[in-house]
Amino acid sequence: MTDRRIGVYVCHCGGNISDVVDVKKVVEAVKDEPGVVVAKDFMFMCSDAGQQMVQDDIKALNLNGVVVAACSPKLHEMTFRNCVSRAGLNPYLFYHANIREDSSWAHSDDPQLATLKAIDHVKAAIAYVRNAHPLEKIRVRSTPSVLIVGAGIAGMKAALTLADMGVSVFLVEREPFVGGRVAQIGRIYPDGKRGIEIVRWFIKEIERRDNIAVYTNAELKSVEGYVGNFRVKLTLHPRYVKFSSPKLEMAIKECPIEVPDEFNYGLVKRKAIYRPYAGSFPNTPVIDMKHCNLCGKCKDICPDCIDFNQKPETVTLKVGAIIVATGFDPYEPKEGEFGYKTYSEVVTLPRFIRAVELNRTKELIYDGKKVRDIAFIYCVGSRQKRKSEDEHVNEYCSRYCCNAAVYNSLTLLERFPYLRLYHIFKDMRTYGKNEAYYEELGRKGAIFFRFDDDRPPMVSRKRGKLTVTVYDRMIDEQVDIPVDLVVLVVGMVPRKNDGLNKVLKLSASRDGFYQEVHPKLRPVETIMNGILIAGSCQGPKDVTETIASASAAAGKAAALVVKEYLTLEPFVAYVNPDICDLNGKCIDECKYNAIEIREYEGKGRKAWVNEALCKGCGACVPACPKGAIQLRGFETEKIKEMIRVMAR
Amino acid sequence: MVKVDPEFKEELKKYGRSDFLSACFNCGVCTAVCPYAGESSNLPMKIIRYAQLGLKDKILQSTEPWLCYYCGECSASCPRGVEPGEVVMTIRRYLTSKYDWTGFSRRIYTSKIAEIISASLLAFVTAIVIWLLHGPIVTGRVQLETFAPAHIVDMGDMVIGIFLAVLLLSNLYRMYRFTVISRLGGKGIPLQRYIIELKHVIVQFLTQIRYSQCKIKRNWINHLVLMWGYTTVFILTVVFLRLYLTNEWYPITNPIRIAGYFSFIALAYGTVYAMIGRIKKDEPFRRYSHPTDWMFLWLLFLTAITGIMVHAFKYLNMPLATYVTFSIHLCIVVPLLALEVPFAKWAHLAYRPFAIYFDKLASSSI
Repeated sequence: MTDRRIGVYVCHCGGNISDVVDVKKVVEAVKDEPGVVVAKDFMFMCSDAGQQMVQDDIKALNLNGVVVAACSPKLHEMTFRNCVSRAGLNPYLFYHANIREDSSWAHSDDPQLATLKAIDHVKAAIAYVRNAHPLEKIRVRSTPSVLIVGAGIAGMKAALTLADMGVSVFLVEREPFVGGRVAQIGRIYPDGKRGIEIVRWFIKEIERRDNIAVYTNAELKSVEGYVGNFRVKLTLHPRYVKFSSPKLEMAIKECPIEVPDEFNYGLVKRKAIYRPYAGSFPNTPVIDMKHCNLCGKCKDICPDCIDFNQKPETVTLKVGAIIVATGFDPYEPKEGEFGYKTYSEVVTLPRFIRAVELNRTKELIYDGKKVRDIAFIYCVGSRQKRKSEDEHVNEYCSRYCCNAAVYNSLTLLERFPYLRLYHIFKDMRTYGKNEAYYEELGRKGAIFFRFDDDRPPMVSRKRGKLTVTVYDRMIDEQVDIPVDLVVLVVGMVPRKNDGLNKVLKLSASRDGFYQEVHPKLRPVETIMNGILIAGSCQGPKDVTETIASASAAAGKAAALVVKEYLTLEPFVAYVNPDICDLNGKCIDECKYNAIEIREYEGKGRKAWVNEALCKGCGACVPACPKGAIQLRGFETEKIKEMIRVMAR
Repeated sequence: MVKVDPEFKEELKKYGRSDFLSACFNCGVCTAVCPYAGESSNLPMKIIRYAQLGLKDKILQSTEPWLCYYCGECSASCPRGVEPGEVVMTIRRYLTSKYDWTGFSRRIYTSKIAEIISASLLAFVTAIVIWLLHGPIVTGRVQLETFAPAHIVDMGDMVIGIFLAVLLLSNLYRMYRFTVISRLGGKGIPLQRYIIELKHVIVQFLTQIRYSQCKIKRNWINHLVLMWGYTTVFILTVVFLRLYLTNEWYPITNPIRIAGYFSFIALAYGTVYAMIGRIKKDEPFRRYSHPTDWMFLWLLFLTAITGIMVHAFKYLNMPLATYVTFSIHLCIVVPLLALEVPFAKWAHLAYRPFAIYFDKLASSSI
């Protein structure tokens, strides 16, 4: 075991440690530990001088193990691993003992005990190094292509970014057309560019690149493999229209079926053969088989382009990473929530926006009636307060809504200056630069009412007139606002993706949006290595934020695939096939699905760890009654030895 | 329960500059700095909010607009440039027109032309009355009492006095109904309260002590001097008319003569000061002048000037000039009284003290 020649270095951290911990005493206490050749203290170990000292000692004293006792390893473990590497030592023959956060800071009231604790930690670190073996990073081959799920603006932005880095992209969309929610919105803050223009710009850019393959009407069937090497199966649903032809315009006109147009929230009708809007992508229409009566009129007009016999196809793709960009659904208010569905003049903001977009006259007309007074009720489906323990509510703020309601009002007033607008809000959150819009809307005469949760606005009909009643704190009165239309400013909810969730097994936060590993440090990564999230599937985001997060996810995905290999930390589980009796307990315990059963040459079928999937969490180790599975670098014996030293 | 009326903002605009109203985001800085805001009143925020929402009935029931003396602190501190002081000023004009049952007030507030025509018409009628009723014109020496016999002027005083009293009292009664009765909800107020609280009317009328709560005391002093100037001249021309309007020439020590000089100085100083201030827009409350503000100041100023000129011509022994100037003087005084007191700006001489009275009455029952 111990031909280790260990150097121990105790850091003062400029007083952060040495003001409490007696570092000289620590050095004194450990210098005679087995294997220790040299023990020193120094003002700043992380400084160039400190690192140089370690490197010089390694060479001069022929050290083959190093312990630095300093701050948290989160801060400087990598610094010293690199330091010992530069001196030619394997970086895993180094151990970083934390005597700042764990000793001097935690026990600043008791220097003596802090010093004793520091000594124990350093001794344990020495014990680790004494038993350490050189380790190598794991190398995994990576396929230089990325699958993007969802072709809204997030998916399209990520696709473009990756394509420009030379990565092949498979852009998959469940709907028959790309564009997502943004295509439905009119003018969008902050610059006023229309949603449809944004989508068309993306489509144009995607068409210009030859390394993006778009699949519409496609569903993710299965995902196998691991980071760098995913095997993905898609089901392509039939379009029943083979290609675009000018004759199809006539075919659409002749189609006898009319159903509510979901793109316009049912405000108008569409045919069974349709495209949502002119210039959609793909431009080839689709036949909606749920409603088509197979009358064949379209086929009569264009016999070549229609094929009722198309069958679903399966496509298999190999990708190195997956970006999930499945977006959101607008919150659907409950029946009776602020008069929703009770009164026909109560409408959600997205539907209202479509109605305004479809309105071609100089007067605003909704449902055949002229509109002059409009009340906007904010925070519908957002920031809800729980009334009972088990009630499901959306506690989060949907971020976009205040801005959208205010900005939409400004664009409305531009077109219809005679409108009288009432904004009934909980808190006005036109954050950042959008505050200017709130400012402007106030000056343009919109009236604002602030309400509390205990006195929400009420919508009713009074003497035939739709009326919003709201308590006004300023004048301590219930105020009646007679209006023609109530617009519910609805928040975002996670999109219903049950099928996809089964395939990808992504974890979601309590509110149902996909969850990142860390909101600040790893904001687009999921716990599934190689699967990234972008846009509002992660949580409410506006267009600007969605584009930013899509770019981030693309960057992160590129980092996984462009080199065509990945290096991973060596601290992963491994199986000793001689001991393993295949009871499967480790497999049950592993939440990353990293353990499978494999044939070992001459030893039969045993548990096997996929190093690319293993996170090194160690949950499998205690699960195995035989001790057949171990965590590399932190084998049970090593940890026991560290504890033994401390307990002595 | 009250109902929003989006049309009200448009109506209010006719009474003055209230177009900044929309910009208010109800932060309450105005109320924080207002010397009149306190536990019982959140001037001016509440009134601004009433106006913003178009709650006409609420405004009509409020005495608060009269409890504001427009020192302009709110306008100076408003982060949105709403000019709350000016909005409340505008609401006072609106209220004056609402208390007036004849509808005439609304006319002259909302139309500059109506105002000028009314004033001119009154001056013209006065001129005709003088033409018909004046006494013998003595040209040898100044015999003003002979030209304008005191008993006839007295009669004129009476006619105008009754006219003003009827209008002002009926308007005050309407104000009482709006601000007290409607707020009581059927409850009664003991008679003694009506008597006890009356002291506020007298104290406030004579001292305008509430005005002194404004940070800049100078405005209160100026206003007080102006008020005492016209009150003095009112007493001289109504109570002591027989001594005042006379052919005699009093010595300089005569109290009637001294009181006359005081009135002139007070009125001339007060009006000139106010007019210069309105031209220079030196303070928030003089920044936005309504035509009725100018009309009032000019009539008051010309009243003082023609009054002293009559005195001067009498001293210089210029009979015709004295009689003509005196006639002009009356042609200014009559529109000043008949127009401004019941229908326009001068009505505040009654509404301000009575607002305090009514406020006390309404709150004493609650």
